[in-house]
Amino acid sequence: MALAGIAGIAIAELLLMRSNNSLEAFRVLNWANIATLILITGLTVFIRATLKTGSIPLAESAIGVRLLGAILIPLKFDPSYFHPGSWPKIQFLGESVSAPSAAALSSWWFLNEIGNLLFILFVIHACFHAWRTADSEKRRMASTLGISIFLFAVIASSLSFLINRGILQIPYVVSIPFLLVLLMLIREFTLQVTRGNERHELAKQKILELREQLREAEKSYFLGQMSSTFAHELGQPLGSILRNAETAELILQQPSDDTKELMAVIRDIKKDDLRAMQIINKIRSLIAHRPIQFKPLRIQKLVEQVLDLARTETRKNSIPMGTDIPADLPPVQGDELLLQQVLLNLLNNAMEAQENQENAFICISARQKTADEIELSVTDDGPGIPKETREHLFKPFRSSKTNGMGIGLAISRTIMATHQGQLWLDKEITDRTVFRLTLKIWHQGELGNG
Amino acid sequence: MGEQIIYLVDDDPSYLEANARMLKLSGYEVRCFSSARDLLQSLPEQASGCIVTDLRMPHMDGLAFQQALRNKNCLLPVIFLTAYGDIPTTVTAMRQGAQDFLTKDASRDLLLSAIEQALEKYRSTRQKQTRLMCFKQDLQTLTPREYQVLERVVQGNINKKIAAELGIHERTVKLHRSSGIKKLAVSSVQELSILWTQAQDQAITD
Repeated sequence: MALAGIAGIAIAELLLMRSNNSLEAFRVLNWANIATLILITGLTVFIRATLKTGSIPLAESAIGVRLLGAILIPLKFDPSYFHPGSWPKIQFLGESVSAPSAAALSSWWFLNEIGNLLFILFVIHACFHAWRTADSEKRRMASTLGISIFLFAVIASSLSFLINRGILQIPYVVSIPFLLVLLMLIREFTLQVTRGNERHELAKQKILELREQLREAEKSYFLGQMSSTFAHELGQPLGSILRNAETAELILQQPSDDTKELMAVIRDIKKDDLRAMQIINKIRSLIAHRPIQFKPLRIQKLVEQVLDLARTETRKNSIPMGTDIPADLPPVQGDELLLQQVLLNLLNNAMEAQENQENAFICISARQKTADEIELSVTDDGPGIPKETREHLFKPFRSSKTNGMGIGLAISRTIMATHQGQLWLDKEITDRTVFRLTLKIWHQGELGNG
Repeated sequence: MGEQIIYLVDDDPSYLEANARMLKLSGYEVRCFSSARDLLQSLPEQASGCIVTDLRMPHMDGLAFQQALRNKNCLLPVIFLTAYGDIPTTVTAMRQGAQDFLTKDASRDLLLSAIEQALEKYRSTRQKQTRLMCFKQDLQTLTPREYQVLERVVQGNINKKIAAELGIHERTVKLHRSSGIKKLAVSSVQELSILWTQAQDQAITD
């Protein structure tokens, strides 16, 4: 706005230098008045926006008086001032130009001078206020911007005053001192931009740091959850072993030692010892410092391995298990051991859900879901999962199974996430339980970036 | 008071059996349940003893079980066992009035002493309950005047004031007072006050 104003003034000044008679000069000066009004308004708004201070009544009266001038002066053209002949030309920078004095053209010209004075007062007041605040940034802005605008206003208005009154015999060159303001403005803007960039960089760095912290927190939360799950798992057989050992002691302390009972107790101790070992093996295979190894895996083979494992683990209740896997499925990328654990966990859940149930059945099926994804599903004919359990299904602490698998659904889901896959319960199907998971298809020569 | 029984609840069959075996050999009468629901269904009205239950169980966990027992006005103290004790659950359980909280690998001595304390707690609760029942029955035998007088005694008024309030002679107040106290079989004004307040509280909650 201020730039548009000063541009207008500069053009007017040039036109004025070329004007040949008083009427022409008068018209140009009227346009210059409007340009000055725009300039003053622009600078006022700018000062208010950057320094956030400045007296509004002063600004209003400065603009108001200049507005009055801009309106009244064109109406007050006195033909008696009209000089029909050519203007006195003067030499200015080697050129012969016209240099009319405005006051000679209109008796209302003093309005502009009062307006300028009010504007200067406004600038002084605003700078003084900004300088008084403790904010060092504002102080700096007040000293550079405020003073440059102030100097411009003083130079420009005194210059025009002297020319108006015919004291100085040169053409109007008000736009030249504005270069001073322009320089300051440019400096201020570049400063603001670089500072903004710096701030942006800092914010970006902070976000990265926070993200890193979040990842760390997630990791330690997960480890905490996992260790408490395993501690709970191990506590069961260890507690049983302790109780049985105490019982054996009690039996031996009694006069009539009951060998048969003692044998049963020892058998149970051995059984629980094995159980504890199995849990430890599971932990080792899961959290031992073994890098995750992505390899191409055939779904058919993976599922068969898992079914074999499940069958040997639970020989007592052999539930029929079927598969529905197309022979032409492409291989997926994954860590064999981890995926086995996920599937085994789902199978165990399915078997537990159908304990002592007639017509129990488990089915593992697979299909190509998208161009680069294969979906596996584990379905059982059990009673389904109650609604209240569904909500907490994947939360580590909510799994309340005690004689189930060592890994919960929470861990399985984390494993799937490292495979860029998902694991979820199909909520559409309510009469059976269907867990689904997705795996990425192996592409030749491409390594998983998980 | 009937025989004291330890009610064991655990969804891990192996631990349930081992614990039951040890407690039986230590001389306790033991009943085993594989879930909280089973116990709630078959718990007799006048059961005496204590409950030793696992905290983490499918369907109904220990805390929900404790709540269900409270709703049934069950007096049996509850000892929680857990394979791995986490602090938040322990705090909640104790706040809800758990008798004790032990890990499954706690030694026999520790478990037995917890059980003994629980049984003792049950006995004293039961005794207080019986005393209160008797007191409430005795209250019914008071004459209206005796009731009025004792009510004011419990409030801490002296005979003179009671006499003035009821518009009777102080000596009559003394008479009603001693016969009422005899009927209620209390040994002191303090005992009278405690039982009276408890009976009143129970009447309100009933």
